[in-house]
Amino acid sequence: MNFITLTRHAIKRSRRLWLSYDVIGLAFLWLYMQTFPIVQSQSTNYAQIIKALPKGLASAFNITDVAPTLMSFLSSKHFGLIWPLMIIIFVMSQAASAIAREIEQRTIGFLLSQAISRSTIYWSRWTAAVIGLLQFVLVTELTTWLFARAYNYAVSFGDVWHLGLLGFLFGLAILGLSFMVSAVVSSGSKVNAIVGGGMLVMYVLFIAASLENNLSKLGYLSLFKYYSPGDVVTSGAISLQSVWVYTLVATITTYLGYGWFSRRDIDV
Amino acid sequence: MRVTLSPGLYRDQASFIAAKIIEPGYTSTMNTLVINELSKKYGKTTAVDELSFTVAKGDIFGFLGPNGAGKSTTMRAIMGFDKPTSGTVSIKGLDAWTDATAVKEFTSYVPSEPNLYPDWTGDDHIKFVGRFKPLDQAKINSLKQTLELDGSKRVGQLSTGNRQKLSIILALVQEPELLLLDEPTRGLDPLLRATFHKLLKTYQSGGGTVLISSHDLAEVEALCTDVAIIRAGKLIKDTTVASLRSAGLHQVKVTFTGRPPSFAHLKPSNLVTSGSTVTYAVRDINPVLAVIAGHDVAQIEITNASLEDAFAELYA
Repeated sequence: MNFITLTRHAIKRSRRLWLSYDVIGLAFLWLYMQTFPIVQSQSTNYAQIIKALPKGLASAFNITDVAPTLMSFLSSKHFGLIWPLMIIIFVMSQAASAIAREIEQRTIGFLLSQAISRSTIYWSRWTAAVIGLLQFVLVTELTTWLFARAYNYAVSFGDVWHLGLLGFLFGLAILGLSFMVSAVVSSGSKVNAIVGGGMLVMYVLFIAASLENNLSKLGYLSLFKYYSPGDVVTSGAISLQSVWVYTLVATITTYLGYGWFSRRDIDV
Repeated sequence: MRVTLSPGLYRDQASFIAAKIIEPGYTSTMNTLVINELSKKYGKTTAVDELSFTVAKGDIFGFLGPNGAGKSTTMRAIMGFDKPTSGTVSIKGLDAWTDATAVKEFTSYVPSEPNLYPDWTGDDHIKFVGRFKPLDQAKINSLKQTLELDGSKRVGQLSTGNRQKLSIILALVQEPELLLLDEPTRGLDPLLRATFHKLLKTYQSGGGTVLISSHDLAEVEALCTDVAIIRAGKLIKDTTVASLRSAGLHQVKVTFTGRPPSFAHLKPSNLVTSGSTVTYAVRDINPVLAVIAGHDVAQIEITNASLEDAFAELYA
């Protein structure tokens, strides 16, 4: 009962933010849909540009198809860059406001003064953030499919589903990291700085590993290594390695955050 | 054989509390709050150092000390916000840290700075509390009327005093058995303070227990029967207000016809010289009388010292 009440409370507080992300996500998608016919009409030039790119660089930026279909185009432009960036910012802000910002603004003292356990607070906030992530993924993925049908482009529902699953698992892993940090620090901006900084380091590692053969092993330390929407569209499947890595990172970091939050001092 | 109870074994918090209070050794006449050798360290800083005191059921217990003495840290340990470094805090036989959720079933807290959601109204907060505990609507209305609070305004739009009123209402509507108040009247005007004192007295007459931390000694004197005084995290006095006031401390006010003599060597507390009038508090009045005897006195007044003087002497 307490868990459901608190989850609903967290969703109610976040719903405007969720809606704004959905709208921005859809706006980007619409923009790319409008751009695609132009890219398609210049596919020869596009192919030449891609061929001129170093192989590692094309792979790093999820550019794998020289004859673009809608999904290959979206996987490199939208799902390869803007969409994961939105997921990162979305889950980071959700985690920051779920715990650390409540401590910073002292409002967690109001919750802890009621007969509500720390466990209920943590897991209800996490559940609300997961629901938020899920709805963002569903809204943007389903709209991709609907847009494609409306514009008469052939799109496999399996590709949309696999891209959605990849984005959701990627977001879940970063959500776990963000909740872990949020459970440790006492300020929302610190969560953004630490997780944002961490993601930037991971991205640099990933790019460096993609460009330099002798640094290739560093790539395994980056969550971006396992996020490859281009491969999903090409192979029509999601890599099992990605599923395992994201699931493990999400599980371990979320539980570490819970362990810390349930034992820490809360200065309110 | 003593069985250790865990909240997970019970279908609800009420069953857990019911089971806990029939544990061997627990009786309903026990002290409501028992703090036993509580220590809290933050790194190398000791905020509370082996603090022990008890608050009896139905008591209004004053918790005094200057800023940074460890009062709020103690309050946080009682509420289960901070984990004690060592020692225990026990409320009705439940441990404040391990049984923190169960403790909140019958404990309410008013922090020194209200920790409310700025985008919620007062009524939203009351409604939220009501989701976890049944509330009496008549009591809510009565408290809002008594403390003159408009529940329809967002907290962000309320003054400090009105936010404090809302915190007090949120604590009292839950009809707790133990009420923890951390400088509760900060931000309230004198009339509302008097109203709040009446509410507390009514609450006490209904069997409620209060631990109040305050800088306002007149408030402590008016409300409390017992007090604990801490300094630098250590307990320096645990006594009744009456005995503190009558612990042989005297308030001396002497008006001399000429220039007043020096009393500094007697180390009085709260020494105030105004023209030819000297006011101070001392425990032994004989040396004072010996000094006065050598001078012309226009007027002399010796009374039992106030709690404020007693408090100042303890801190001297």
